[in-house]
Amino acid sequence: MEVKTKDRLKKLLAQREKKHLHYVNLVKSSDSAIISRTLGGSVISWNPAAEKLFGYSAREVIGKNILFLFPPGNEAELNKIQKIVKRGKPMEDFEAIRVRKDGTRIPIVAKISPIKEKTGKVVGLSAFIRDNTGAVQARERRKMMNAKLRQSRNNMRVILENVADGITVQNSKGKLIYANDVAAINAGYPSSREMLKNQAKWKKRFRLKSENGEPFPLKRLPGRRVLKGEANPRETVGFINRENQETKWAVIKARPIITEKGKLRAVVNIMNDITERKELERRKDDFISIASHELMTPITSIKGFMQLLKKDLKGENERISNFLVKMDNQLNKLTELIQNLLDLSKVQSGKLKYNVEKFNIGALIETAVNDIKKASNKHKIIFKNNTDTMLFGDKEKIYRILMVLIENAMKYSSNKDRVIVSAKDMDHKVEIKVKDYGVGIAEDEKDEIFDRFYRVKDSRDKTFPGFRSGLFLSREIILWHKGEIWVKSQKGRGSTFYFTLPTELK
Amino acid sequence: MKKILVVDDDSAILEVIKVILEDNNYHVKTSEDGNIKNTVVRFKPDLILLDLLLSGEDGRDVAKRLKSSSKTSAIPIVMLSAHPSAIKAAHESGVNDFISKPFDMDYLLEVVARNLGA
Repeated sequence: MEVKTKDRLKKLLAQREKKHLHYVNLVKSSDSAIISRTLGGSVISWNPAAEKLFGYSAREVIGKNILFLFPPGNEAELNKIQKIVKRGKPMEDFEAIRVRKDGTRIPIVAKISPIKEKTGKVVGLSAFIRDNTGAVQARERRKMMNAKLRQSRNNMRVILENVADGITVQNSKGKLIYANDVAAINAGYPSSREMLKNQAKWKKRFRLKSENGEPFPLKRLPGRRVLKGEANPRETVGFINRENQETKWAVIKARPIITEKGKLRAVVNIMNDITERKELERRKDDFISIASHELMTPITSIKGFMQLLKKDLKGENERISNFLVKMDNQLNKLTELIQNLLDLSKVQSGKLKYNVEKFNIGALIETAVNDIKKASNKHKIIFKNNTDTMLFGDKEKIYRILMVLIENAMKYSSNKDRVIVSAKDMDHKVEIKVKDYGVGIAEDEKDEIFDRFYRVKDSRDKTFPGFRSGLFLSREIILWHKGEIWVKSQKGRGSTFYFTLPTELK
Repeated sequence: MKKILVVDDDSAILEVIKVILEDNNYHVKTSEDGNIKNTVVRFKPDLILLDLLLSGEDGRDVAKRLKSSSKTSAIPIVMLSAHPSAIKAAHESGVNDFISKPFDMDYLLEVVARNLGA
């Protein structure tokens, strides 16, 4: 019986020993530093992880006051821990700085628990401590990033508030979520805040018009078009103040902001106030218009007197009559130049007016060819007419295109004697062809010749004067008629200019 | 002899048109401004050649006045202008024909004859 009891006791002790050992091993092998101390501060236990974290061995610190771990002058922190633990409360995620044996400081995070007697009296505390360097660094990085973000947001705000352009941002539903002050003030609001509050108000304040004077429909505004999927629309819009009828002009561009998944997140609108430029343009147009009118007046009387003079000679003096014809032709050229100048300034500002009438294109070409024949007999101009079609268009302007093409053909084939003009009916259009056998145009110049101030160069790099704006203006006019113009040519073997005009002007 | 009144603020143009027309047996009177009401009443022209841009006055207003008065509305008016694109505006003021400046002598005579019903 006694033996039995003894055995049982032995077994129990062994079990306890095993359990104790288990705990000891757990503490020893823990990644966290585990230390315990009395309430008074003297260290009771110090595991290997604590040795590793702080650099002190257990032997060095057991029995010592824990203050050695605290940065100097941090008794207040110690007192605070003391106070809380005394009340029997644990502390979770307690962050602090501690000092290693080598004097370096280390941020830690600890879980502190009171150690109680059976009576419940607190006699000490245990602490699980981990190196908090990573978390602190991450937090610092976050802080820095936030600061940078704030800084760049501030920079952005300063930029947005100080650019000369009005800038607004709409969300994907078209609601205004940002407007800079320039945008707000141009739209008639006292501030951008007011604009965001009262988004629809500007529509009551302004009437919109296009450059050609027609009303500008709201759905054509670039922002709305981006919302419908367009990538980078651009429009020139006039804003007429309904109260005082004053017009402000703006070039409006809109761009989508796309999410990583490719969805439309927002629309940025950029509005460039071009009112001043428009005003300058208008004054320039007025000036050219008045100047060309003034120039036409003396030309008119000179031309009249010259024709009278020629008539009075009654062909008696062939030499003088011949000179007078030449002078008359030069006056026609001068008139054409002035007229081109006037049209050029108008076409640029979109104000060129078209007088549409019904006319026979074949007959018009016949007239142009005959007028040229009267002016010059150097070239044999052959007209092959294969059309009797009536077209709708600006007869006068198309006449001038024909003059430009035939005169150019003669000018650039001064060593040849033939120019062939032909016209034929095609599907819903008429194609007109002007062919010469002159210097031709190099491949890389074929598109450029329709630019504003282009001139074809000859082989010695000497420019042929006078090409000037004829082709540019011709192209503008043909495009207005919804026709096309192009050239086929080989350097040194002549050029053929083609243009088409639709039979119905839509 | 048919009577023609020519209105233009440029004296050289007035002179050359006068010579051209007189050479072709028209009786011509000229005016350098648009204040022609009395002249029209007294001279009773068969045709008026009227410049579109007179100094101080728009030729279209002169044309409208003439066309709205029963005494003068029957007189054909041919408008002259250095702006070929003004043809539409000219016709809107009720004129009968349009010649752009500068013009050929023969064309001027042709338009004049046409509007005199010759």
